[in-house]
Amino acid sequence: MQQKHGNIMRDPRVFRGIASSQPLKFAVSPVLFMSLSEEPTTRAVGPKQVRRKLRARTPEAVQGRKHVNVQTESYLEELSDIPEVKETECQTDAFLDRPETPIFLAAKTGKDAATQIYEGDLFDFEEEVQPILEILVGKTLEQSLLEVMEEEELAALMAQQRAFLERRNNELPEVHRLQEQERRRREERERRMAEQRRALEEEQEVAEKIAARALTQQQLADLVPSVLASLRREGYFYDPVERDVETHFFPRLMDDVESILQKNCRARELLDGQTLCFICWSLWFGNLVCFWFSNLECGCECCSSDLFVGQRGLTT
Amino acid sequence: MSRDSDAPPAPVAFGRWAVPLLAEQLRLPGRDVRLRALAALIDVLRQPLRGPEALTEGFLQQLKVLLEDEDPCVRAKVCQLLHVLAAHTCGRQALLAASFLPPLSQLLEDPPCRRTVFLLLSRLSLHSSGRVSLLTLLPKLMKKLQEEEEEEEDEVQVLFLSLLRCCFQADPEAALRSDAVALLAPKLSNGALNICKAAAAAMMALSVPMGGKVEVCDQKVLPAVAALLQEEDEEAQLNATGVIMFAAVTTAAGV
Repeated sequence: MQQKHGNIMRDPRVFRGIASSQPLKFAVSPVLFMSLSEEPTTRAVGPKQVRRKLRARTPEAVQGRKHVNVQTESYLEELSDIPEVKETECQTDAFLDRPETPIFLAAKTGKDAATQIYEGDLFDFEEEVQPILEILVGKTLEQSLLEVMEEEELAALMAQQRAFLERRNNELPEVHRLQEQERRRREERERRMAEQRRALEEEQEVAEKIAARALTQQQLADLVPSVLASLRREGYFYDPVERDVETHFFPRLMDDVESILQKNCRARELLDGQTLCFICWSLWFGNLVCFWFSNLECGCECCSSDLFVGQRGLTT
Repeated sequence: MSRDSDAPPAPVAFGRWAVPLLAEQLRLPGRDVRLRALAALIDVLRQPLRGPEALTEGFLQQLKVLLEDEDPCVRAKVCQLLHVLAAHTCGRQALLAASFLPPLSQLLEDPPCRRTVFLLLSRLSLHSSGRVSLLTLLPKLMKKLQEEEEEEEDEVQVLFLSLLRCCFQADPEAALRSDAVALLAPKLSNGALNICKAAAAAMMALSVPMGGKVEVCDQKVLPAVAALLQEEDEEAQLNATGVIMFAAVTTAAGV
Protein backbone atom coordinates (compact mmCIF):
# COMPACT_ATOMS: atom_id res chain seq x y z
CA MET A 1 0.00 0.00 0.00
CA GLN A 2 1.62 3.11 -1.02
CA GLN A 3 1.20 5.91 1.32
CA LYS A 4 0.30 9.09 -0.29
CA HIS A 5 2.52 11.87 0.73
CA GLY A 6 0.59 14.76 1.95
CA ASN A 7 1.40 18.27 1.19
CA ILE A 8 4.18 19.33 3.45
CA MET A 9 2.68 22.76 3.73
CA ARG A 10 -0.42 21.15 5.33
CA ASP A 11 1.36 18.71 7.49
CA PRO A 12 0.44 19.41 11.07
CA ARG A 13 3.57 17.96 12.26
CA VAL A 14 5.65 20.75 10.68
CA PHE A 15 5.85 23.55 13.02
CA ARG A 16 5.04 26.97 11.81
CA GLY A 17 5.60 30.29 13.28
CA ILE A 18 7.99 31.71 15.72
CA ALA A 19 9.67 29.20 17.87
CA SER A 20 8.81 31.09 21.05
CA SER A 21 5.11 31.53 20.42
CA GLN A 22 3.33 28.24 20.32
CA PRO A 23 3.56 25.36 22.63
CA LEU A 24 5.36 22.32 21.41
CA LYS A 25 2.91 19.95 19.83
CA PHE A 26 4.66 16.77 20.58
CA ALA A 27 4.57 17.50 24.27
CA VAL A 28 0.84 17.14 24.11
CA SER A 29 -0.84 13.85 24.84
CA PRO A 30 -2.03 11.92 21.88
CA VAL A 31 -5.69 12.27 22.88
CA LEU A 32 -5.39 15.99 22.76
CA PHE A 33 -3.65 15.75 19.48
CA MET A 34 -6.36 13.70 18.04
CA SER A 35 -9.00 16.07 19.20
CA LEU A 36 -7.08 18.93 17.74
CA SER A 37 -6.75 17.20 14.50
CA GLU A 38 -10.49 16.65 14.18
CA GLU A 39 -10.94 20.06 12.77
CA PRO A 40 -12.16 19.97 9.29
CA THR A 41 -9.41 19.95 6.87
CA THR A 42 -9.33 20.24 3.18
CA ARG A 43 -7.54 17.03 3.08
CA ALA A 44 -9.45 14.18 1.60
CA VAL A 45 -10.61 11.78 4.07
CA GLY A 46 -9.59 8.49 2.93
CA PRO A 47 -8.30 5.21 3.91
CA LYS A 48 -5.19 6.92 5.15
CA GLN A 49 -7.08 8.82 7.79
CA VAL A 50 -9.02 5.84 8.73
CA ARG A 51 -5.94 3.87 8.99
CA ARG A 52 -4.47 6.53 11.18
CA LYS A 53 -7.45 6.51 13.46
CA LEU A 54 -7.48 2.84 13.76
CA ARG A 55 -3.82 2.56 14.32
CA ALA A 56 -2.96 0.98 17.61
CA ARG A 57 -1.78 3.50 20.01
CA THR A 58 -0.02 3.34 23.27
CA PRO A 59 -2.38 1.77 25.74
CA GLU A 60 -4.03 4.08 28.19
CA ALA A 61 -2.36 4.60 31.50
CA VAL A 62 -3.47 2.59 34.45
CA GLN A 63 -5.86 4.19 36.83
CA GLY A 64 -4.14 6.74 38.92
CA ARG A 65 -1.08 6.90 36.70
CA LYS A 66 -0.27 9.12 33.94
CA HIS A 67 1.89 8.62 30.91
CA VAL A 68 4.80 10.90 31.03
CA ASN A 69 7.11 11.62 28.21
CA VAL A 70 10.65 10.67 29.07
CA GLN A 71 13.78 11.29 27.18
CA THR A 72 15.73 8.16 26.55
CA GLU A 73 18.79 9.77 25.10
CA SER A 74 22.01 9.39 26.94
CA TYR A 75 22.35 13.00 27.54
CA LEU A 76 19.32 14.53 29.03
CA GLU A 77 18.34 17.94 27.98
CA GLU A 78 15.89 20.21 29.58
CA LEU A 79 12.95 20.67 27.31
CA SER A 80 11.20 23.91 27.58
CA ASP A 81 9.36 26.12 25.25
CA ILE A 82 10.63 29.21 26.79
CA PRO A 83 14.11 29.61 25.65
CA GLU A 84 16.47 31.42 27.80
CA VAL A 85 16.68 34.95 26.87
CA LYS A 86 19.16 37.39 27.94
CA GLU A 87 19.14 40.91 26.87
CA THR A 88 22.29 42.70 26.08
CA GLU A 89 22.81 45.90 24.37
CA CYS A 90 25.77 47.78 23.21
CA GLN A 91 26.29 51.19 22.19
CA THR A 92 29.48 52.70 20.96
CA ASP A 93 30.84 55.53 22.95
CA ALA A 94 29.65 58.77 21.39
CA PHE A 95 33.02 60.39 21.86
CA LEU A 96 35.18 57.59 20.55
CA ASP A 97 36.99 58.20 17.33
CA ARG A 98 36.03 56.37 14.37
CA PRO A 99 38.17 53.32 14.32
CA GLU A 100 40.43 52.85 11.38
CA THR A 101 39.26 51.03 8.44
CA PRO A 102 40.53 47.56 8.67
CA ILE A 103 43.10 46.58 6.14
CA PHE A 104 41.66 45.24 3.04
CA LEU A 105 42.47 41.66 2.63
CA ALA A 106 41.48 40.36 -0.67
CA ALA A 107 39.40 37.32 -0.63
CA LYS A 108 41.44 34.26 -0.94
CA THR A 109 41.41 32.76 -4.32
CA GLY A 110 43.01 29.64 -5.43
CA LYS A 111 43.18 26.24 -4.05
CA ASP A 112 44.55 25.50 -0.67
CA ALA A 113 47.26 22.95 -0.70
CA ALA A 114 48.99 21.41 2.26
CA THR A 115 51.96 19.21 2.66
CA GLN A 116 53.61 17.37 5.48
CA ILE A 117 57.33 16.57 5.75
CA TYR A 118 58.11 13.39 7.48
CA GLU A 119 61.41 12.13 8.92
CA GLY A 120 63.96 11.32 6.29
CA ASP A 121 62.19 13.16 3.44
CA LEU A 122 64.41 16.19 3.13
CA PHE A 123 67.67 15.35 4.83
CA ASP A 124 69.31 11.97 5.08
CA PHE A 125 72.27 12.26 7.37
CA GLU A 126 74.00 9.16 6.08
CA GLU A 127 74.04 10.39 2.50
CA GLU A 128 74.91 13.98 3.20
CA VAL A 129 77.73 13.22 5.52
CA GLN A 130 79.56 11.00 3.09
CA PRO A 131 81.29 13.62 0.89
CA ILE A 132 82.19 15.72 3.92
CA LEU A 133 83.68 12.71 5.62
CA GLU A 134 85.55 11.77 2.49
CA ILE A 135 87.10 15.21 2.26
CA LEU A 136 87.93 15.35 5.94
CA VAL A 137 89.48 11.96 6.01
CA GLY A 138 91.24 12.53 2.74
CA LYS A 139 92.73 15.82 3.79
CA THR A 140 93.80 14.48 7.12
CA LEU A 141 95.45 11.54 5.49
CA GLU A 142 97.11 13.76 2.95
CA GLN A 143 98.42 16.10 5.61
CA SER A 144 99.67 13.28 7.75
CA LEU A 145 101.26 11.60 4.75
CA LEU A 146 103.04 14.82 3.91
CA GLU A 147 104.26 15.20 7.46
CA VAL A 148 105.42 11.63 7.61
CA MET A 149 107.13 11.97 4.27
CA GLU A 150 108.82 15.13 5.42
CA GLU A 151 110.08 13.42 8.52
CA GLU A 152 111.26 10.47 6.53
CA GLU A 153 112.99 12.77 4.10
CA LEU A 154 114.75 14.51 6.92
CA ALA A 155 115.70 11.22 8.46
CA ALA A 156 117.02 10.01 5.13
CA LEU A 157 119.05 13.20 4.77
CA MET A 158 120.48 12.83 8.24
CA ALA A 159 121.27 9.20 7.57
CA GLN A 160 122.99 10.15 4.35
CA GLN A 161 125.00 12.79 6.14
CA ARG A 162 125.94 10.34 8.83
CA ALA A 163 126.99 7.79 6.26
CA PHE A 164 129.08 10.42 4.54
CA LEU A 165 130.67 11.46 7.82
CA GLU A 166 131.45 7.87 8.63
CA ARG A 167 133.07 7.33 5.26
CA ARG A 168 134.97 10.53 5.68
CA ASN A 169 136.14 9.56 9.12
CA ASN A 170 137.19 6.22 7.83
CA GLU A 171 139.08 7.51 4.87
CA LEU A 172 140.58 10.68 6.29
CA PRO A 173 142.91 9.12 8.87
CA GLU A 174 143.90 6.55 6.31
CA VAL A 175 144.79 9.37 3.97
CA HIS A 176 146.62 11.15 6.74
CA ARG A 177 148.43 8.04 7.71
CA LEU A 178 149.57 7.51 4.17
CA GLN A 179 150.54 11.13 3.88
CA GLU A 180 152.48 10.89 7.09
CA GLN A 181 154.14 7.73 5.88
CA GLU A 182 155.04 9.35 2.62
CA ARG A 183 156.40 12.35 4.42
CA ARG A 184 158.51 10.21 6.70
CA ARG A 185 159.87 8.22 3.81
CA ARG A 186 160.61 11.30 1.85
CA GLU A 187 162.37 12.87 4.77
CA GLU A 188 164.37 9.73 5.33
CA ARG A 189 165.30 9.60 1.71
CA GLU A 190 166.30 13.19 1.62
CA ARG A 191 168.27 12.85 4.78
CA ARG A 192 170.13 9.91 3.34
CA MET A 193 170.74 11.70 0.11
CA ALA A 194 171.97 14.73 1.95
CA GLU A 195 174.27 12.57 3.97
CA GLN A 196 175.57 10.92 0.86
CA ARG A 197 176.10 14.22 -0.79
CA ARG A 198 177.93 15.53 2.21
CA ALA A 199 180.12 12.47 2.26
CA LEU A 200 180.90 12.93 -1.39
CA GLU A 201 181.70 16.54 -0.85
CA GLU A 202 183.96 15.75 2.00
CA GLU A 203 185.77 13.22 -0.06
CA GLN A 204 186.16 15.66 -2.83
CA GLU A 205 187.40 18.25 -0.45
CA VAL A 206 189.88 15.87 0.97
CA ALA A 207 191.12 14.96 -2.47
CA GLU A 208 191.42 18.60 -3.39
CA LYS A 209 193.30 19.31 -0.25
CA ILE A 210 195.69 16.55 -0.95
CA ALA A 211 196.20 17.69 -4.48
CA ALA A 212 196.64 21.23 -3.38
CA ARG A 213 199.11 20.21 -0.77
CA ALA A 214 201.11 18.19 -3.26
CA LEU A 215 201.11 21.00 -5.72
CA THR A 216 202.14 23.56 -3.22
CA GLN A 217 204.81 21.35 -1.95
CA GLN A 218 206.04 20.87 -5.46
CA GLN A 219 205.99 24.54 -6.09
CA LEU A 220 207.44 25.45 -2.85
CA ALA A 221 210.23 23.04 -3.43
CA ASP A 222 211.97 25.29 -5.88
CA LEU A 223 210.46 28.35 -4.44
CA VAL A 224 213.43 29.46 -2.50
CA PRO A 225 215.98 29.20 -5.29
CA SER A 226 213.62 30.82 -7.73
CA VAL A 227 212.91 33.57 -5.30
CA LEU A 228 216.57 34.14 -4.80
CA ALA A 229 217.15 34.04 -8.52
CA SER A 230 214.42 36.48 -9.22
CA LEU A 231 215.63 38.77 -6.52
CA ARG A 232 219.01 38.61 -7.93
CA ARG A 233 217.53 39.24 -11.31
CA GLU A 234 215.63 42.20 -10.08
CA GLY A 235 218.81 43.54 -8.72
CA TYR A 236 218.14 43.38 -5.07
CA PHE A 237 221.53 41.90 -4.47
CA TYR A 238 223.93 44.37 -5.83
CA ASP A 239 227.51 45.31 -5.61
CA PRO A 240 227.61 48.79 -4.10
CA VAL A 241 230.63 49.97 -6.16
CA GLU A 242 229.06 48.80 -9.34
CA ARG A 243 225.79 50.50 -8.32
CA ASP A 244 227.54 53.67 -7.55
CA VAL A 245 229.33 53.65 -10.88
CA GLU A 246 226.06 52.97 -12.60
CA THR A 247 224.05 55.63 -10.82
CA HIS A 248 226.47 58.41 -10.81
CA PHE A 249 229.19 57.93 -13.37
CA PHE A 250 227.37 56.52 -16.27
CA PRO A 251 224.63 59.15 -16.46
CA ARG A 252 227.12 61.91 -16.59
CA LEU A 253 229.06 60.08 -19.20
CA MET A 254 225.98 59.51 -21.24
CA ASP A 255 224.95 63.14 -20.95
CA ASP A 256 228.24 64.23 -22.28
CA VAL A 257 228.03 61.78 -25.13
CA GLU A 258 224.59 62.94 -25.86
CA SER A 259 225.53 66.56 -26.04
CA ILE A 260 228.37 65.79 -28.40
CA LEU A 261 226.12 63.75 -30.57
CA GLN A 262 223.49 66.49 -30.53
CA LYS A 263 226.02 68.93 -31.72
CA ASN A 264 226.91 66.60 -34.54
CA CYS A 265 223.32 66.24 -35.43
CA ARG A 266 222.67 69.90 -35.46
CA ALA A 267 225.60 70.45 -37.76
CA ARG A 268 224.33 67.82 -40.13
CA GLU A 269 220.88 69.32 -40.10
CA LEU A 270 222.18 72.70 -41.01
CA LEU A 271 224.06 71.19 -43.83
CA ASP A 272 221.01 69.32 -44.99
CA GLY A 273 219.02 72.47 -45.04
CA GLN A 274 221.42 74.33 -47.11
CA THR A 275 221.66 71.50 -49.58
CA LEU A 276 217.90 71.38 -49.91
CA CYS A 277 217.69 75.08 -50.55
CA PHE A 278 220.12 74.81 -53.35
CA ILE A 279 218.29 71.89 -54.88
CA CYS A 280 215.03 73.76 -54.81
CA TRP A 281 216.47 76.78 -56.52
CA SER A 282 218.02 74.69 -59.27
CA LEU A 283 214.75 72.85 -59.76
CA TRP A 284 212.79 76.11 -60.14
CA PHE A 285 215.05 77.28 -62.81
CA GLY A 286 214.74 74.03 -64.68
CA ASN A 287 210.98 74.38 -64.34
CA LEU A 288 210.94 77.63 -66.17
CA VAL A 289 212.80 76.06 -69.04
CA CYS A 290 210.44 73.18 -69.24
CA PHE A 291 207.46 75.48 -69.16
CA TRP A 292 208.70 77.17 -72.20
CA PHE A 293 209.20 73.80 -73.81
CA SER A 294 205.74 72.69 -72.93
CA ASN A 295 204.21 75.52 -74.84
CA LEU A 296 205.79 73.95 -77.85
CA GLU A 297 203.94 70.70 -77.01
CA CYS A 298 206.96 68.76 -76.26
CA GLY A 299 206.34 65.22 -75.13
CA CYS A 300 209.73 64.62 -73.69
CA GLU A 301 210.19 62.68 -70.63
CA CYS A 302 211.39 65.46 -68.45
CA CYS A 303 208.15 67.35 -69.01
CA SER A 304 205.92 64.53 -68.02
CA SER A 305 207.82 63.67 -64.99
CA ASP A 306 206.27 63.97 -61.62
CA LEU A 307 208.78 66.42 -60.44
CA PHE A 308 207.86 68.63 -63.23
CA VAL A 309 204.18 68.27 -62.39
CA GLY A 310 204.93 69.00 -58.91
CA GLN A 311 206.83 72.05 -59.92
CA ARG A 312 203.99 73.12 -62.02
CA GLY A 313 201.74 72.67 -59.15
CA LEU A 314 203.98 74.89 -57.22
CA THR A 315 203.84 77.65 -59.78
CA THR A 316 200.12 77.54 -60.61
CA MET B 1 105.30 34.41 31.17
CA SER B 2 103.70 30.98 30.79
CA ARG B 3 100.32 32.59 30.62
CA ASP B 4 101.40 34.58 27.61
CA SER B 5 102.95 31.72 25.74
CA ASP B 6 99.80 29.71 26.23
CA ALA B 7 97.68 32.43 24.66
CA PRO B 8 95.44 31.06 21.93
CA PRO B 9 96.76 31.68 18.46
CA ALA B 10 95.14 34.31 16.30
CA PRO B 11 92.50 33.19 13.81
CA VAL B 12 93.99 32.08 10.56
CA ALA B 13 92.54 33.02 7.20
CA PHE B 14 92.01 30.33 4.64
CA GLY B 15 94.33 29.56 1.77
CA ARG B 16 96.60 32.18 0.31
CA TRP B 17 95.68 34.92 2.70
CA ALA B 18 96.79 33.18 5.86
CA VAL B 19 100.36 34.37 5.97
CA PRO B 20 99.92 37.91 4.62
CA LEU B 21 97.14 38.73 7.09
CA LEU B 22 99.12 37.41 10.00
CA ALA B 23 102.11 39.39 8.82
CA GLU B 24 99.96 42.50 8.92
CA GLN B 25 99.06 41.72 12.48
CA LEU B 26 102.72 41.58 13.38
CA ARG B 27 103.05 45.23 12.54
CA LEU B 28 100.50 46.30 15.11
CA PRO B 29 101.87 47.81 18.31
CA GLY B 30 100.12 45.57 20.84
CA ARG B 31 102.31 42.94 22.47
CA ASP B 32 99.56 40.35 22.93
CA VAL B 33 98.44 40.72 19.35
CA ARG B 34 101.95 40.07 18.19
CA LEU B 35 102.37 37.04 20.40
CA ARG B 36 99.17 35.50 19.16
CA ALA B 37 100.00 36.23 15.54
CA LEU B 38 103.42 34.65 16.02
CA ALA B 39 101.91 31.54 17.58
CA ALA B 40 99.47 31.24 14.67
CA LEU B 41 102.28 31.71 12.17
CA ILE B 42 104.30 28.96 13.79
CA ASP B 43 101.34 26.59 13.50
CA VAL B 44 100.68 27.50 9.89
CA LEU B 45 104.26 27.33 8.71
CA ARG B 46 104.92 24.08 10.50
CA GLN B 47 102.54 22.32 8.12
CA PRO B 48 104.46 20.63 5.36
CA LEU B 49 104.91 22.57 2.11
CA ARG B 50 103.65 25.80 3.61
CA GLY B 51 106.93 26.98 4.97
CA PRO B 52 108.24 28.64 1.82
CA GLU B 53 105.12 30.84 1.62
CA ALA B 54 106.62 33.11 4.19
CA LEU B 55 109.87 33.71 2.41
CA THR B 56 109.09 37.13 1.04
CA GLU B 57 111.51 39.96 1.53
CA GLY B 58 109.21 42.15 3.58
CA PHE B 59 108.28 39.41 5.97
CA LEU B 60 111.87 38.54 6.74
CA GLN B 61 112.73 42.16 7.35
CA GLN B 62 109.79 42.39 9.69
CA LEU B 63 111.06 39.40 11.61
CA LYS B 64 114.48 40.94 11.82
CA VAL B 65 112.99 44.04 13.39
CA LEU B 66 111.06 41.92 15.85
CA LEU B 67 114.23 40.10 16.89
CA GLU B 68 115.30 43.28 18.58
CA ASP B 69 112.03 43.76 20.40
CA GLU B 70 112.17 44.53 24.14
CA ASP B 71 109.92 41.71 25.17
CA PRO B 72 111.76 38.41 25.64
CA CYS B 73 108.63 36.37 24.85
CA VAL B 74 108.35 37.97 21.44
CA ARG B 75 112.02 37.31 20.76
CA ALA B 76 111.68 33.69 21.81
CA LYS B 77 108.67 33.20 19.55
CA VAL B 78 110.44 34.79 16.61
CA CYS B 79 113.36 32.42 17.14
CA GLN B 80 110.96 29.48 17.14
CA LEU B 81 109.44 30.75 13.90
CA LEU B 82 112.86 31.04 12.30
CA HIS B 83 113.64 27.54 13.51
CA VAL B 84 110.54 26.26 11.68
CA LEU B 85 111.49 28.20 8.56
CA ALA B 86 114.99 26.76 8.59
CA ALA B 87 113.65 23.26 8.14
CA HIS B 88 113.49 23.91 4.39
CA THR B 89 116.52 24.45 2.21
CA CYS B 90 115.10 27.54 0.58
CA GLY B 91 114.34 28.85 4.04
CA ARG B 92 117.91 28.36 5.12
CA GLN B 93 119.22 30.05 2.02
CA ALA B 94 116.84 32.95 2.46
CA LEU B 95 117.85 33.39 6.09
CA LEU B 96 121.51 33.43 5.19
CA ALA B 97 120.96 35.81 2.31
CA ALA B 98 118.97 38.20 4.45
CA SER B 99 121.88 38.37 6.89
CA PHE B 100 120.18 37.15 10.00
CA LEU B 101 123.40 36.08 11.60
CA PRO B 102 124.39 39.32 13.35
CA PRO B 103 121.12 39.74 15.29
CA LEU B 104 121.12 36.02 16.07
CA SER B 105 124.59 36.23 17.48
CA GLN B 106 123.33 38.99 19.79
CA LEU B 107 120.61 36.69 20.96
CA LEU B 108 123.09 34.05 22.03
CA GLU B 109 123.45 35.94 25.28
CA ASP B 110 119.73 35.96 25.89
CA PRO B 111 118.62 33.22 28.28
CA PRO B 112 115.12 32.40 26.95
CA CYS B 113 116.14 32.38 23.31
CA ARG B 114 119.50 30.70 23.66
CA ARG B 115 118.40 27.12 23.16
CA THR B 116 116.26 27.94 20.13
CA VAL B 117 119.03 29.99 18.59
CA PHE B 118 121.43 27.09 18.98
CA LEU B 119 118.94 24.73 17.36
CA LEU B 120 118.43 27.19 14.56
CA LEU B 121 122.16 27.60 13.99
CA SER B 122 122.66 23.85 13.94
CA ARG B 123 119.96 23.60 11.28
CA LEU B 124 121.66 26.34 9.29
CA SER B 125 124.90 24.40 9.43
CA LEU B 126 123.44 21.34 7.78
CA HIS B 127 124.71 22.53 4.43
CA SER B 128 128.27 23.50 3.71
CA SER B 129 127.41 26.99 2.56
CA GLY B 130 125.68 27.51 5.87
CA ARG B 131 128.78 26.36 7.69
CA VAL B 132 130.89 28.79 5.78
CA SER B 133 128.57 31.60 6.79
CA LEU B 134 128.69 30.41 10.37
CA LEU B 135 132.41 30.91 10.38
CA THR B 136 131.78 34.61 10.79
CA LEU B 137 130.40 33.74 14.20
CA LEU B 138 133.48 31.79 15.16
CA PRO B 139 135.29 34.54 17.11
CA LYS B 140 132.22 35.14 19.21
CA LEU B 141 131.81 31.46 19.90
CA MET B 142 135.44 31.11 20.90
CA LYS B 143 135.03 34.02 23.27
CA LYS B 144 131.99 32.33 24.72
CA LEU B 145 133.98 29.19 25.19
CA GLN B 146 136.53 31.16 27.09
CA GLU B 147 134.23 32.90 29.48
CA GLU B 148 132.37 29.77 30.41
CA GLU B 149 129.59 29.93 32.99
CA GLU B 150 128.68 26.87 34.94
CA GLU B 151 125.00 27.69 35.34
CA GLU B 152 124.07 26.77 31.81
CA GLU B 153 121.98 23.71 31.31
CA ASP B 154 123.54 20.62 29.88
CA GLU B 155 121.41 20.65 26.80
CA VAL B 156 122.47 24.15 25.88
CA GLN B 157 126.11 23.20 26.43
CA VAL B 158 125.74 20.15 24.23
CA LEU B 159 124.12 22.22 21.51
CA PHE B 160 126.87 24.81 21.79
CA LEU B 161 129.57 22.18 21.48
CA SER B 162 127.91 20.54 18.48
CA LEU B 163 127.74 23.95 16.84
CA LEU B 164 131.42 24.37 17.52
CA ARG B 165 132.03 21.02 15.92
CA CYS B 166 130.29 22.18 12.74
CA CYS B 167 132.39 25.32 12.66
CA PHE B 168 135.56 23.32 13.21
CA GLN B 169 134.67 20.98 10.42
CA ALA B 170 134.30 23.91 8.06
CA ASP B 171 137.56 25.61 8.93
CA PRO B 172 139.76 24.00 11.55
CA GLU B 173 142.70 26.27 10.86
CA ALA B 174 140.92 29.37 12.04
CA ALA B 175 139.88 27.61 15.21
CA LEU B 176 143.37 26.39 15.88
CA ARG B 177 144.65 29.90 15.53
CA SER B 178 142.33 30.99 18.32
CA ASP B 179 143.60 28.31 20.66
CA ALA B 180 140.61 26.04 20.48
CA VAL B 181 142.33 22.91 21.75
CA ALA B 182 143.38 24.46 25.01
CA LEU B 183 139.94 25.88 25.60
CA LEU B 184 138.20 22.63 24.78
CA ALA B 185 140.39 20.37 26.88
CA PRO B 186 138.73 21.07 30.24
CA LYS B 187 135.35 20.06 28.81
CA LEU B 188 136.53 16.57 28.18
CA SER B 189 136.71 15.79 31.83
CA ASN B 190 133.54 17.64 32.70
CA GLY B 191 130.85 15.92 34.71
CA ALA B 192 128.05 15.06 32.32
CA LEU B 193 128.54 12.40 29.70
CA ASN B 194 126.79 14.37 26.99
CA ILE B 195 129.16 17.26 27.37
CA CYS B 196 132.18 14.95 27.22
CA LYS B 197 130.80 13.30 24.10
CA ALA B 198 130.19 16.59 22.37
CA ALA B 199 133.59 17.92 23.39
CA ALA B 200 135.24 14.79 22.04
CA ALA B 201 133.39 15.19 18.75
CA ALA B 202 134.60 18.77 18.52
CA MET B 203 138.12 17.67 19.31
CA MET B 204 137.90 15.09 16.56
CA ALA B 205 137.02 17.78 14.07
CA LEU B 206 139.93 19.85 15.33
CA SER B 207 142.46 17.08 14.99
CA VAL B 208 141.94 16.61 11.28
CA PRO B 209 144.62 19.03 10.07
CA MET B 210 148.22 18.44 10.87
CA GLY B 211 148.54 21.40 13.20
CA GLY B 212 145.60 20.18 15.19
CA LYS B 213 147.15 16.77 15.64
CA VAL B 214 150.32 18.32 16.87
CA GLU B 215 148.48 20.51 19.33
CA VAL B 216 146.42 17.63 20.59
CA CYS B 217 149.60 15.78 21.39
CA ASP B 218 151.21 18.84 22.88
CA GLN B 219 148.42 19.76 25.18
CA LYS B 220 148.27 16.28 26.64
CA VAL B 221 144.64 15.86 25.81
CA LEU B 222 144.98 12.19 25.04
CA PRO B 223 144.76 10.84 28.59
CA ALA B 224 141.41 12.55 29.11
CA VAL B 225 140.24 11.18 25.79
CA ALA B 226 141.40 7.71 26.71
CA ALA B 227 139.36 7.95 29.90
CA LEU B 228 136.30 8.40 27.70
CA LEU B 229 136.94 5.06 26.13
CA GLN B 230 136.05 3.41 29.37
CA GLU B 231 132.52 4.76 29.21
CA GLU B 232 129.79 2.42 28.13
CA ASP B 233 128.07 4.83 25.80
CA GLU B 234 128.73 3.90 22.20
CA GLU B 235 128.93 7.38 20.88
CA ALA B 236 131.37 8.48 23.55
CA GLN B 237 133.62 5.59 22.65
CA LEU B 238 133.22 6.46 18.99
CA ASN B 239 134.25 10.05 19.43
CA ALA B 240 137.15 9.21 21.67
CA THR B 241 138.35 6.61 19.18
CA GLY B 242 138.09 9.18 16.45
CA VAL B 243 140.30 11.62 18.26
CA ILE B 244 142.90 9.01 19.01
CA MET B 245 142.74 7.72 15.46
CA PHE B 246 143.43 11.11 13.99
CA ALA B 247 146.13 11.90 16.45
CA ALA B 248 147.86 8.55 16.10
CA VAL B 249 148.83 9.32 12.56
CA THR B 250 151.62 11.54 13.77
CA THR B 251 154.82 10.11 15.00
CA ALA B 252 154.72 12.11 18.21
CA ALA B 253 151.50 10.53 19.30
CA GLY B 254 152.93 7.09 18.75
CA VAL B 255 155.51 7.99 21.30
